[in-house]
Amino acid sequence: MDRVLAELQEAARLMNAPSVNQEQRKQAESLLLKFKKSEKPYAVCKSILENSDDPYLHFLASSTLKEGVMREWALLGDTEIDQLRDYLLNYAHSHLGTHAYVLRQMLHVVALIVKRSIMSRDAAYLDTFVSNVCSLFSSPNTLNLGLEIAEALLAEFTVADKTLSSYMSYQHNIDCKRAIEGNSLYKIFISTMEVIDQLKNSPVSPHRREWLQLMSILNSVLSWDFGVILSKRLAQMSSLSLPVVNLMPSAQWAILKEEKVLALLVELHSAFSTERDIQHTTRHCIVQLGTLQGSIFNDQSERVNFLSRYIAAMVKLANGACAQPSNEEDHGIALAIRQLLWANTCQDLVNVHVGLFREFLGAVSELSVKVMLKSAKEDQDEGSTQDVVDVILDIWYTLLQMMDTLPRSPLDQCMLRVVECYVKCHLAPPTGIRDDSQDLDEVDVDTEEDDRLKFRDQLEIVGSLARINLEQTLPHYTSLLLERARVVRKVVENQEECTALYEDLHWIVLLIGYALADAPTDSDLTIPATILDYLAKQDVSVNVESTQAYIQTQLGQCADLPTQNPIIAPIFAIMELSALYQDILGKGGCHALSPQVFSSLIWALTRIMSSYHMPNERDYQFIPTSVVATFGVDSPISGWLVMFLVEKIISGLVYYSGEQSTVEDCLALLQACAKNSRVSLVLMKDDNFKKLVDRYTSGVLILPSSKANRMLSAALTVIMSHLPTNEHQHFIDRVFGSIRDSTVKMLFSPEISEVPSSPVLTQQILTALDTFHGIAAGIVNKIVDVVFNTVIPILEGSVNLLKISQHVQPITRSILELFCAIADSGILQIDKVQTHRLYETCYKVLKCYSDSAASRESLTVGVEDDRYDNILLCLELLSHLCSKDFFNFDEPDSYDETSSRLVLVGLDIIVPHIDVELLKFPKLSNEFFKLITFICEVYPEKVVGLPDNVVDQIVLMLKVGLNNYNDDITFYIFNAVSALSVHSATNPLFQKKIGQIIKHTLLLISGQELSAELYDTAADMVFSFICKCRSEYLTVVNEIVVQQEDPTSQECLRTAFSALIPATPTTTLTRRDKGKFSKIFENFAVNVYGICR
Amino acid sequence: MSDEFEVNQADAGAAKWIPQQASAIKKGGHIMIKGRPCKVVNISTSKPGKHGSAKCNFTAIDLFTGDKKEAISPGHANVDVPIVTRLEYTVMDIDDSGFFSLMPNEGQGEMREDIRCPDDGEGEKARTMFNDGKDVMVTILTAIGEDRLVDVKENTKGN
Repeated sequence: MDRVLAELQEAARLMNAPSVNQEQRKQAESLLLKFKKSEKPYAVCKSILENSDDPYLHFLASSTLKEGVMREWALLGDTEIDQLRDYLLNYAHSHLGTHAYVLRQMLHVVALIVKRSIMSRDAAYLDTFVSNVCSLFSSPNTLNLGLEIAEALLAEFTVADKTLSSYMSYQHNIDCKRAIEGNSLYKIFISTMEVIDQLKNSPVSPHRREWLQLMSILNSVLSWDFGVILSKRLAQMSSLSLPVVNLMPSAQWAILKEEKVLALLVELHSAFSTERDIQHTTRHCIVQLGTLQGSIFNDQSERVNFLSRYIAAMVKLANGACAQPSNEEDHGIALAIRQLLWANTCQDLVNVHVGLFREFLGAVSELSVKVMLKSAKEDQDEGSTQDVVDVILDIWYTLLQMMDTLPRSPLDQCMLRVVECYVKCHLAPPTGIRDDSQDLDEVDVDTEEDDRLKFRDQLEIVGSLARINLEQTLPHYTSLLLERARVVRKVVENQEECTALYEDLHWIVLLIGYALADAPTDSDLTIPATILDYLAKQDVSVNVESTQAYIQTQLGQCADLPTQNPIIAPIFAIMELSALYQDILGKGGCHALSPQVFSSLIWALTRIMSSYHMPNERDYQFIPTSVVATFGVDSPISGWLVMFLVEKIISGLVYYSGEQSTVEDCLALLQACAKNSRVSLVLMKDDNFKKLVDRYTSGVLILPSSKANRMLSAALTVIMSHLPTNEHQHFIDRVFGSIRDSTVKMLFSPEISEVPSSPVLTQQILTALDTFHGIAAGIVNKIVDVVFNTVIPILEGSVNLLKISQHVQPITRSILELFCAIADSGILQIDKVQTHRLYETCYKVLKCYSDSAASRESLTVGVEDDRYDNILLCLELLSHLCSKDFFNFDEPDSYDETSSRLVLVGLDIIVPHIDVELLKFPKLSNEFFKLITFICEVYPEKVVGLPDNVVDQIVLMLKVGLNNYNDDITFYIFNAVSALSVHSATNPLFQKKIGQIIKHTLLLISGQELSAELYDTAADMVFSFICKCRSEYLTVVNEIVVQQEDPTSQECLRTAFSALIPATPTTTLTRRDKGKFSKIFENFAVNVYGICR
Repeated sequence: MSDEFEVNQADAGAAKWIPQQASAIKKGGHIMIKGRPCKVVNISTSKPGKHGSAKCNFTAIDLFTGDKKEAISPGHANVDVPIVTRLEYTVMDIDDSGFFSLMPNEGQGEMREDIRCPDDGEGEKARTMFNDGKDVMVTILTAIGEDRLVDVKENTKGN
């Protein structure tokens, strides 16, 4: 014993010593790890605790005890376990001064032991234990220990899925939680409150540690999830979406709704103003108390009383926070208010006294303004106050949704104040208070997120709030924009530095864009309901004649707008600035203007025009007269507007050809126009648009990115789809005819061999591939034949091109991307003959890629990256091809055969190029295993029947995937193996191979190396295997058992494995049986833990 | 370097590079940096402040020396793109002074006798295989009149 102790002490010393070589540290580490896994480590651990004075070793001993007792639970008797528990308690009691982390670990073991003992002992076991713990609270000497134990118990008994103890089954965890909720939890709470009452009059500092513990216990109780316990699967699902738990205790907890708990918390909160960590916990307690609800309230009046008291407290705290500079306090109060609003319905809030609610709104507005002003002065990238601003805006958004029930005044005034403050924060002095000092820094375009995305949530909420008072806000925006627009021309002429001006314009444009349109989903922009309601009530008519006169003569001159209509005017203001921009660009002022502002303008036009321009009556119950008169399909202005938009798009493409994002924004506007069939039809008659198309077809137009090129051809394809069917071919011949003919000619001529060495030809081919990529992506049902016939010769020709240009990665990638695009968007729409033709071409391209990949030049830099890109594209292609049978309902049989064969053959081609290193890229491994699983699930019988070497390869991949990557992959693999087991019943050789994966999984489970979340899926897999391949299961089990040296372990394992075999052999895998087995399997996992060595 | 330009008569009169808009260059493409032909390994775009115009930052590797080079260009400006060829030849002979006699595939370029078999790994491989009497195919990368042996393999197709 002494020798062991000395060895461990030495190892612990080496682990923590500063100057030790790698080898020594490794040895020490392995010795300690071995000790942790040793059998019956109790005596050694006790001896460490008593004889060593190294806290690290104490911690290790506690952890070892935990592992040991959980592992050997079945082998230990009740007496032994109780002795160990009491030993630890006594030790903790007599060594209170020991390091907190050691003490916590020790008490964690105690809590675990208590939890695991509950089910096998009588009902009073837990209550007695808790009573004893609470009795420790009464003496100052034992208070600390008592609180520590209580904390450990609460932490262990809470069922939060992520921290779920996997030493016990889910059901056991649930049962324990129910047991403690019976009485003990309440007892702990009451005892804690009593201690707080006693301590609160004495100064904080001597009891700092106790206060921390007390508040932490209180916090655990107030955050307790009293809700109905869900089944394991539901709990896993809901734990993803619900990070906050509402406090819903039973009627027993009536004390919580009384005034004194809230008063006490608020009192403590102010008392701890200098103790940040304690105050943090009290703040959290207050937040949780605000979510109190459920059967605890006997009637509505009780609830309203509680709510009123809570709101009054919030008002006080918020007012207090306004006087303090603390960011944390702002954040805490904001969170509490948000939580309060989320947890209560507006019916509850409306019953609160009007005066109090008014006061509450006033306090919240005050706090909001303070937080926003503070954020404006801070570097926006730091984000600490931005988080608070987000919470504040959430509060207002929640209030906005209650607007119908709550009294409108003074809510609308408060919202106006918030919007005005937000605007002020984003404008430069003198109007606003924005700090521009960081705007001159170098910006990395590739990583920098555009404001419209970065502040999207904020801008959306501010947009909604602005619409509540649109008579004030929108004219305000309009005048701000026009004021600044008037300065632009002068500034450009004088060549002045004007970053602040551009930043202002950029933000006002964003604010208008978000206020005028909102999107229920990302793609469907609509006129917001608030605006429609407003216009339905008081529409300010628009004089079409004077507007026409204005657009013909004055647009771009910064003259007065032709209308005061609060909705139409800002749209004209945006058009005004766009026209001004175009005018200056045309006069060669490109370098003086900000491309960012142009992008924002185009983005705002896209947003506004998608919703207001030639709206489709079917999308709205009612369209206001002013909108119809100005932008409706019959309005002369709307026709002119199409020309106007085309001019802006062309300006962007021509003057900003070097700005990728600006060009892409312009093309997004074109795509938005193309989507609207009415706009499309006008567009096609427009001369400028025709010129644009001509420039494009003749290859004069230079686009800065592949994406831009693809967007343009996709937009043109969508425009084509709005034409009558008999004109499709003509359109495609006119627009894409020349590029199609020249590309096909080149692809099938000897000239093609010069492509890799000629930059001109390479560029030409890349542009052509991008064009066809766009055409393929724009495919819709009406034009499928025309598009397919256009693209397929290119695909066929690309196979040879791929072979020739195997060393030119941009070409390789573009070809594979083109195949993916057509397979993605077209596969479900093309007919049988076309499908076969596509399959055949896909097969050839994969084969060709595979052949060329084998001889890829090794000298090139970045080959690994290229390989990753290409293989990922090949896998994506195969996945897209798979989807054909998945969605094909009419003639399932005819496609089945080829599609499955193609995918299998495709995998066979690609798999040799995938190695373990490459699979370390998560995206690639995900795609790969998803595909394999899909194949195994949909065509298990085909996989089973594959040639041996392919099967070996697949099984090897599955086995490698099992413990090398993340949980998602393991999940896929289990599903794949389940499916294969079901179909391997008649193939003993195949069963053997699958058996190896099962064996591997069982070993992983016994070592607890598998995430508990995967147990259900693992259970399904093992169940399928046992039912369908019982004899092979017995062989596998036997292999595992005989590897154990210890006969007791062997016996234990044998029992556990046999318990898994269903009593009545079944070959039909019903859902019910699977559910039952899942529970048995969970117990199995608990029982076999640590036995296999 | 300029001497070599004069000596190489094969491309006389033909352009050795062409202009292209900087923003249209793609990763994996080629670019001339400080008079050297390079392969682009990375492109990033930046701008001086939020309201400035975009610039392209190229990181590239010299095709012949392997040196890493960097260049910055406004997105809308033109940059030079070298014309790079890769041709396969059959090795007819390696003479005493170390020069190859190379025969092109049919219809692709002319007979070459001006390329020295290098002393690096690939060169050694070519020499050994040739001395063993094998039918050796080499791949030669050419840009701005410079050549480099990039691949050596045995011709198994028998043509």
